[in-house]
Amino acid sequence: MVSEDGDAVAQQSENLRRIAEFCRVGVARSEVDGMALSVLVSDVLEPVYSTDSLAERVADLQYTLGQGPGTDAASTGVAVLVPDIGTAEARQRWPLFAIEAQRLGVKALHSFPLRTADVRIGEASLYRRAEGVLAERQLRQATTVTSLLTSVLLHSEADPYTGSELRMSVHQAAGMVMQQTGRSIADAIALLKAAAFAEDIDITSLAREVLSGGRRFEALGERTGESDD
Amino acid sequence: MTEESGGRSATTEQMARAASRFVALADTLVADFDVVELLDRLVEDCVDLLDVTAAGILLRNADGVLDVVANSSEESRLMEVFQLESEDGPCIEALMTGEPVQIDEVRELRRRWPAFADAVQGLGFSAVYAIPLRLRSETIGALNLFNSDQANMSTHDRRLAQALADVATIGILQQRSLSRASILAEQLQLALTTRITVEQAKGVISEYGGVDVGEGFLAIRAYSRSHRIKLSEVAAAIVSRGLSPAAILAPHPQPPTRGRE
Repeated sequence: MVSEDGDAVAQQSENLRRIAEFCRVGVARSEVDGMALSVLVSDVLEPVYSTDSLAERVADLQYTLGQGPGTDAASTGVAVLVPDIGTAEARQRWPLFAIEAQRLGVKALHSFPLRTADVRIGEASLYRRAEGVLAERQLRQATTVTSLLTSVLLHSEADPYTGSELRMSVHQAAGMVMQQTGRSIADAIALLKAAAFAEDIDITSLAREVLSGGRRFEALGERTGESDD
Repeated sequence: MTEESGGRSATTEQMARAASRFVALADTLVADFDVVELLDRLVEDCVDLLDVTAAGILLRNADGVLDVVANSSEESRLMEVFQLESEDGPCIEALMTGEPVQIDEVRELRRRWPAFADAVQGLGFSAVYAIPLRLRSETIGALNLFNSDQANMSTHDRRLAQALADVATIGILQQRSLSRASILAEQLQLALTTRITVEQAKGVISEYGGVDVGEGFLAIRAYSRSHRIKLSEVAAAIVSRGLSPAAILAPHPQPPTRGRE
């Protein structure tokens, strides 16, 4: 339930404080450049928290493309460690994601499932701007922090969207596109993702354009006005 | 008295040892565990990870009775027992108020708790910190940290101490409520799904009515109140086209004035 009282706001800020603290510790002790958390909602990984803008863009990219090490970590429940996202193997496994992540400046991406013994709730992805494996000690720290985060997320009574209006804009835009196109909400989300990918912009930027009225989707598919097909 | 009263230099080996303790503390959260063991680890972790000499915990059990449950040394156990018996001191205050207490100087300690200050000094401590074990409005205990040097605890260490205390609190409450992870995961899913659906519905109303999403939300909330249907249900109906945007934006009857919101 989305309550609007001060209590819920206080709970949210307490959640945010804990999540931010553990992510900060995780980044420092695993000696990475940043991390992002995504939670599975109806089998879709929704980004809920990131330590910095690059981590956020990587999480958004994974959301937009529906592929990446984090997607695999969340669905299999096993950590996916990618010391070099530029290898042929990585490109074969995540053809779109590997190239795009590299373009953003990410070299290594290590994704850990957020899970308990019997429930998978999402993933945490830790990135570096330099290639390289996580040393055993760094790996242990990352595992520790992700299990702490799992516990925090599971016990957060307020929803864990920790005040990210940016992420909310994607869902608001989806509602607008649903109304503009007369399609289902699922189609509207797919249209947004497809347009973001085809036009090579982040989904949050596209969402902002939709919200400002600067960009509309028409009933018969999107209007690009410059289709080459 | 601690023998190693000199400087605790943070060697690499020490950091590695501290790191593995942190891991051990976290491990207790994903498996069945013993609360006493968890708290023993917490006090050990505090001494290892933070620049403190000793740590101890007072915990209110499920029946509301206070007890000393964990200590890194005999000295800290005595400090906890002293506070428990006199029903006063920094740890008791943190427990009662739910706020951390930080006393960097014996002089300050003496001003507020004279008898306790004597005991603290007698055991070779100078600075005392008390951190509540608190989840939202519920304070179930307090963590006491003691230092033999008069040194301000860094902001970083204070935050880490609070984070460790938070994890222990969550662990204890988790065990007490015997909540199943799967139930919690369902609640998390529901909370997220609801939030997302409400945002989507705001977008639908915004587009239909040519209003901004904030106004869209106000219209949805007004409909929810006047029809006495949960906000989440109204939002879900809008997104699944079970409820038309026109109905949301049409003037509704005013909700009865009794029952303030």
